[in-house]
Amino acid sequence: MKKLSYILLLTLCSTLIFSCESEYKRDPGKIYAPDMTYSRAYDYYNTPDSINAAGGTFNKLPVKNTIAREQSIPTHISEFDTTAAKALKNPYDLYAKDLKEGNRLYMIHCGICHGAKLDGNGPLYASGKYVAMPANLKGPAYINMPEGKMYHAIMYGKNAMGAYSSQLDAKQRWQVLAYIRSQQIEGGSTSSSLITPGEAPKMEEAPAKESHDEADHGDDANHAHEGDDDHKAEAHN
Amino acid sequence: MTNVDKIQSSILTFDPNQFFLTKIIQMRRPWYRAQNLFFHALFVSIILLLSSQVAQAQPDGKALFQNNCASCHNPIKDATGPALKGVEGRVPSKDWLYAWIKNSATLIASGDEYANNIYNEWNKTAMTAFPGLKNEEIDAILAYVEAYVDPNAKVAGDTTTGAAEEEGDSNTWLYAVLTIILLLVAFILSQVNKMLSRQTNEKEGFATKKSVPFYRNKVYIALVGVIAFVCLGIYMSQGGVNMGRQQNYMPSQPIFYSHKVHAGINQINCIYCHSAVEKSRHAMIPSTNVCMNCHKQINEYTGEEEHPLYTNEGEKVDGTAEIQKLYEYAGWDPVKKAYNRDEEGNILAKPMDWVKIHNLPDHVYFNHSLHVVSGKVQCQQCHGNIEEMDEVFQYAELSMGWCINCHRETNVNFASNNYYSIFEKYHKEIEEGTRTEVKVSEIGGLECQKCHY
Repeated sequence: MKKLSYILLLTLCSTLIFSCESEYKRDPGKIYAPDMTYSRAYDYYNTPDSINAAGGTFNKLPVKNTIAREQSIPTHISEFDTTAAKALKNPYDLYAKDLKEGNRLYMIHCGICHGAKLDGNGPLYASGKYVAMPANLKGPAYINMPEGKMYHAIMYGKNAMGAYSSQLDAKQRWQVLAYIRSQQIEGGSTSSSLITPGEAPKMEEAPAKESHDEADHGDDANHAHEGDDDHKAEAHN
Repeated sequence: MTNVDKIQSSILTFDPNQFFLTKIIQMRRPWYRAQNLFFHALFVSIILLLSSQVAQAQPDGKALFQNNCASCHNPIKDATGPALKGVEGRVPSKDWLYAWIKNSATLIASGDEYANNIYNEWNKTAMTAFPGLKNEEIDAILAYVEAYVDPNAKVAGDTTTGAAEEEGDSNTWLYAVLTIILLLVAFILSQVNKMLSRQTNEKEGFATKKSVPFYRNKVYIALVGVIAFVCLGIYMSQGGVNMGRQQNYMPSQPIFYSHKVHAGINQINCIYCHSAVEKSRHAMIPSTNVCMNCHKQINEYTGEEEHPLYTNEGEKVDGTAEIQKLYEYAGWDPVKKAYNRDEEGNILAKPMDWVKIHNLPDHVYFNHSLHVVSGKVQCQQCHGNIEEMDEVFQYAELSMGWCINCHRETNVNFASNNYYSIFEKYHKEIEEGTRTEVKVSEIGGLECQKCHY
């Protein structure tokens, strides 16, 4: 009898101790070695305070005319100058697989407003959260719109639409445009005016033409390709 | 007589009877009959065409509004342009409105006072000219706008929220009271038992053993000692192992940003905001301009009934107030619908001090793009059901054992992947059939210097 009561007491105590811990904690807890945990060098997502205290460069824009790594020469179009943008042409060689990539990117970044069918009836507008209707990209105004103007809208935004230059890099913007062009053809199409017919050249055959997607290991080839594009972009401007 | 004179005289001397008489005479001629039939058909078809035009000419205001106006205007809310309901009452005249819609630029250039005022009031945003719109079509649009009713208008104030919460509270109280009552009963019973045994002892003539208080009872002391030792041992060893690990860490963020509302209810793809996840080591916390892509338009939280917001501690959160906080950080003026800028045109935005949740020590290298693009790992595998979380917490342990375990269990997409062509031995074995799969650990997923260097 007594033994039983002791055992009961023991289990009661231990369950009490272990059930007291709450599920989520607001405090990150302690660490062994702060020097090995927090980067002493400037790094992404160091706390702003620590960077500011060190006289760091938090929240500063890149130096003017900086070209991001692996990006082609800038197009020199500016936010308030749309005439130059209208003349802008696609500097990249895009193939069928880029169309597929454009489709994927469209569904991620554009579909939420412009709709999976490009009719301007995306989930955010359809659920009544938007005041203004996103553009119906299958409307005549957009079918006849110069690609450069659409590129400008992606880069800097237009009316209620925000700028997507921080989310889509130059090539991705053209991939999305290629997809939009292909869908503007009645019934959808696997080709578009921005797509070069045929397969993308393989790396072994033409290293200079290797493109991004499967080229994690083809860094040199990649750079050569970018260089190619740059000349094209210049020619078009 | 010249031709003109002939016509003039024929008009002057026109006699309807004679005209029809000649007509009837003419109609007897066969060639004329054929000709007449042709004209008749033409006449009928013109009439038909006209009538169908009349049927079409009742313009569909809603369709016209959706096609031409909706991308900048809403009937009841200000967007890129002003709310249109009641516009006829505001503007000087209907003709002014026609002129404005067909070409606002000329109206402004003509020096019209009202036109210039409204142009300046709306940050000099030029309205697209619609020279193709007919007056009737504009009327149809205006009729649609005037008849528009807010579909989200609240029908009647019903307050059913919070009932479930109260229920949960009362249950806890019930259990607490029950526990106390049971404990009391147990205590009383043990006292009664003691008293009864003492009384029987007295009756029988045995000497009652002197009761020892529990804090001097050796068995009790030993028991408490053992319990304390075990518990402390578990606590210390667990604490030692988990030190530096932050599983279930759920910091309070500067803005109550609900992933459930954005990624769950509104179906926004993770990569929409965390767009660097495919390109970089970090998944990237989006800058405020990405928030503003949608929140330029969405300035209030309308899901209050569908999904009321509460913090983990159960405090009510006002979603609309949280969006206002965003505007402050982003430097957006919700009244003027424009960014606040300094003289050089830079937007006056402040950085948002989001609290980082998933912290890996500096001596560990982790790359998101490698896992997401090459490894095709879903976000949820490591981050849990983010689309169900109002406040995000660290779902996975993020310990080395956790990493290694996944590398031991996960198959590499080996076959059609050019990247792994250098592993000739494995390819050969797969061809021969002696091997069916390749784990991450077999292509160097357990090498120390892959993650520590």
